[in-house]
Amino acid sequence: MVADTALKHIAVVGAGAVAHAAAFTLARALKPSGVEVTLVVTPAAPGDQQQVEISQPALHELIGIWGLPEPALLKACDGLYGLGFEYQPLGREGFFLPFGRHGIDPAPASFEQGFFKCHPGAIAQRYSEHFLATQAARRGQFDFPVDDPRSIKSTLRYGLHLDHSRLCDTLADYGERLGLRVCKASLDDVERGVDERIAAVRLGNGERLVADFYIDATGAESRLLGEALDVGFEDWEHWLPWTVQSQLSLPPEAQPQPRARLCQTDFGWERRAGLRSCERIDALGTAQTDWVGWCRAYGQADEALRALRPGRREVFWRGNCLALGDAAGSATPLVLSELHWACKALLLWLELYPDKRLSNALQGEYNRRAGAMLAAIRDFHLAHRLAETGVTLEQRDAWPASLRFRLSLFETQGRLWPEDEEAVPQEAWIILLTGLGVQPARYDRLLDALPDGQLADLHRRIQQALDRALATMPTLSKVLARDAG
Amino acid sequence: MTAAIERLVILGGGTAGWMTAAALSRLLPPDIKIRLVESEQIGTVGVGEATIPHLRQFNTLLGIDENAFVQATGATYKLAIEFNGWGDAGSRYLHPFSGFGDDLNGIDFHHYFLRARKHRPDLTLDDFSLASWAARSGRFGPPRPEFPTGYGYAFHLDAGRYARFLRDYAEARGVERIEGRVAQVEQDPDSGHIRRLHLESGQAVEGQLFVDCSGFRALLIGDTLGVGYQSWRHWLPCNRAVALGSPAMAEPPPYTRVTASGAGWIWRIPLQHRTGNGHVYSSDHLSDEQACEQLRIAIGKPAITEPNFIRFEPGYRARSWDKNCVAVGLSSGFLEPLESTSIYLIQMAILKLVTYFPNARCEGPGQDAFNRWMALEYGRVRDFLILHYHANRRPEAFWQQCREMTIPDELARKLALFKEAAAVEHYEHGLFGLPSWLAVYLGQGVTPDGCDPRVAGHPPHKVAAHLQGMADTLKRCAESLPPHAEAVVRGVTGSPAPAELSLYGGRYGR
Repeated sequence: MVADTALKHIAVVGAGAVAHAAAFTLARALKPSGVEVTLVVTPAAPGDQQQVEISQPALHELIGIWGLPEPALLKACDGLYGLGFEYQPLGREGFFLPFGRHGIDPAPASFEQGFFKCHPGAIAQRYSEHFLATQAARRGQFDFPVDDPRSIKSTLRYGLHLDHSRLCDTLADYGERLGLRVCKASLDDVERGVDERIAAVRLGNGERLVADFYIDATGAESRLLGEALDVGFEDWEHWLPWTVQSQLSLPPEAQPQPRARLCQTDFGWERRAGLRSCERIDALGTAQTDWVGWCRAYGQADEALRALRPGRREVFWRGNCLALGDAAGSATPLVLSELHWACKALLLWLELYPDKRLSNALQGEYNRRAGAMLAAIRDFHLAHRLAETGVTLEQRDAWPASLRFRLSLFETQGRLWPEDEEAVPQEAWIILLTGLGVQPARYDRLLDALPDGQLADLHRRIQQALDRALATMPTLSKVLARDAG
Repeated sequence: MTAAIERLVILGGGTAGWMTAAALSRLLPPDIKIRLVESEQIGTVGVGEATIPHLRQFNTLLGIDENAFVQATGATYKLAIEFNGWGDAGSRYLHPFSGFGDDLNGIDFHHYFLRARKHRPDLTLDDFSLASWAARSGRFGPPRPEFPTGYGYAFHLDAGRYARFLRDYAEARGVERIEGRVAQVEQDPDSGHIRRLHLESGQAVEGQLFVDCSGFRALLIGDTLGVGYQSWRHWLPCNRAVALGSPAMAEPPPYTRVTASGAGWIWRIPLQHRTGNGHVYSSDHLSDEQACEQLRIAIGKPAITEPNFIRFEPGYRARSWDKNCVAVGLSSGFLEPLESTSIYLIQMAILKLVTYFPNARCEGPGQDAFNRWMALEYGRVRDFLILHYHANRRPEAFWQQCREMTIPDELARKLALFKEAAAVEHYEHGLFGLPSWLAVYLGQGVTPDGCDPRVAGHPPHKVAAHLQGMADTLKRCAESLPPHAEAVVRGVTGSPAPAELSLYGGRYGR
């Protein structure tokens, strides 16, 4: 039974993984409420073909709603399991940023403080060594987390490497079986109605599609929210200068590796992530980057470039239109992908879920919280610029106040300011900042009261526990083979 | 690197002073010399006899045995606050230390509750809280793993005895107590930092960091450093309180009771050895004599203490850490004890002082972080308290004024969200999550226009039948707990429940 005021038909418009994931999620989650979902698949831009998704563990929340068996999904998307990012900044020692948390109680000071004290030159490296994910990834090993807090494996979290096009096809396929209407057509026009609402979308196949609610997943063009509803855009290019992305496909590594790589280049960042049949490389740079040269260095002809537009719409939800992913705003896909941001936002929308009255207060709450989510991602990505030798203190002074405060508190006190919305766990911030050369000026003085050698003992015991877990942990190849069996 | 702090001075020995001394003696390195200056001639306010579950985290951090603490402070257990006469004269609800019901299909429980009430208007939120059931039936025990939900618990305690208990603890850990009154505060002529407290005895107490626990007088943060106080009286109209002790109750209930009066409210806090009572009121609407008389009538028994009158100005100091002085307790601000937050605010100030503990220079981002954090804590408690006053349908002039006052924008936004969409604004840090806001909204008659459209599709009688099963289960769980009075005498046995910084036992909504 459906209440009279309930939404009955939601249209999702877009070409990529965000549109497909959103449509499938809504079809699945709202099926019991009798909501009809239409996915309008618009033609993909040439630069969108070879995208790889390097998901955060949070994607599992969505996959849980999807109700799809993960091994099958992974296989269909040429996918691998990933435990984190291997960083290689220019002119610095590399480090590993694992997913998950270390799970070690303060004894007596918070765990990272011991590294501030004992390993001031190599905090990121030594601290990261104490995560099971770091050591497993280095050895090509992988395992799933367990629910028992006594087991060190309970600290593991993992993401997925997925081929975007295949993910789209898979979700469309499963979706249609579920009753999702998939309509491949270009978006010709958006009709604006009264009260800043969308009245209909006109498609290339001649259809005039009318829905109660529209999801704009049209990417940076933001065809519905930005163009039709005329919602303004705040540019972040001065903070996040990476406005061009290029991507290539290489033969796979000899053995599949449960990690992605993030290497700093002279123009920006290069990301590499394995799939089963290939390795994908993409790079984030600027219009000035020598993209032809970059492709040639890998022995390939230059590929179509993809434009990124760092910044955000003034609001993400107005009236009967919700923009997701790049259509709402982008902090670039450096570490946290467009799909990641879109999924978090979609889950929030489902939590607040409106009826046809489209409460203004509800929109306000969504825009407030989703805005904080995107700002948190922006700050985390922007912090990567600490790797650049050219970033001056004056430039840093122009960074968002939230990030400046975080940096100054970390530099002086070795503490991280907790925001209401956080993009990544504290551990990730600690590894990133120290890995890029930010040195806390102090450590928790409680450590001075410890007898000599106690910290070293603690670290040794953790290492032994990690060694025991690693001794029986399978390689990623084995896990994939087992999935197949 | 700037030198580390070696000498720390606490001024004032009430609840705030001794909580600070005890915690710092445990949580700071032992080479820091801690001294506490207090005078036996200066009384302490001793409000904050009712607490919230966070205090257990504080005690655990200090390694204090819970049963020993209960006996030493004459404490009883607390599962909820009962609100009588708020909303309208007949309203009665609990604000329990637990969530309500189970979320279903990823949708918050209260939407189902609102739907079920279309068929069963007699259902109350309290039917779906295990802590409420236990409170109503006068039972207490820590949450058990086999219960379908968790809950938190706190204590009613004798604040004077708690201070004494913590004094013993702190002195055993090397804190030096200095008896005396401050005659003069010496500041560094250049930086304005406090250097020494000159006592009437002639003794000078030198320090690098000073914690001002001097209560309302705010001797250091206010008188010496001149940090301004921001009044919130335009939102929180009460500015007086009178406290009276009465004999201990034969069957002390495991909850605090706060009853609205014509121009304020009356508390009742059951301890083992007496009952604490008080009347918080607005001096614009009630004289001290009237307030005291009303309190005596409400108690209905002869008092065993003389009335203790307290004057206050609701508000806080935006810079409760200025130069080398950190205000903890009433010197940093005052919010009436309606939601038992006084000791909590002391606790958080101490924990944040430890987190951002300075070096001898004392100023910098750590100080900013402390001030920001305390501003957040005070602000969130403030808005929640204002809601209690604002959401009423009572006839008296005082209450009418509260109903018509302009409320802070943040609160107006929260109220609109609940009325329009039955949604509770989410925030991660600071006090009061969804269950608390829900308890007060619905308890005081703030009724939303509808509920989640996914729930609005279900027939109310079916939802009600399902919910009734949930309520029955919780009731049965509560009935398996021992009587509260028995728990007070025997203490809590078995492995202790986790002591987290949470109002709801860490498992709310599940």
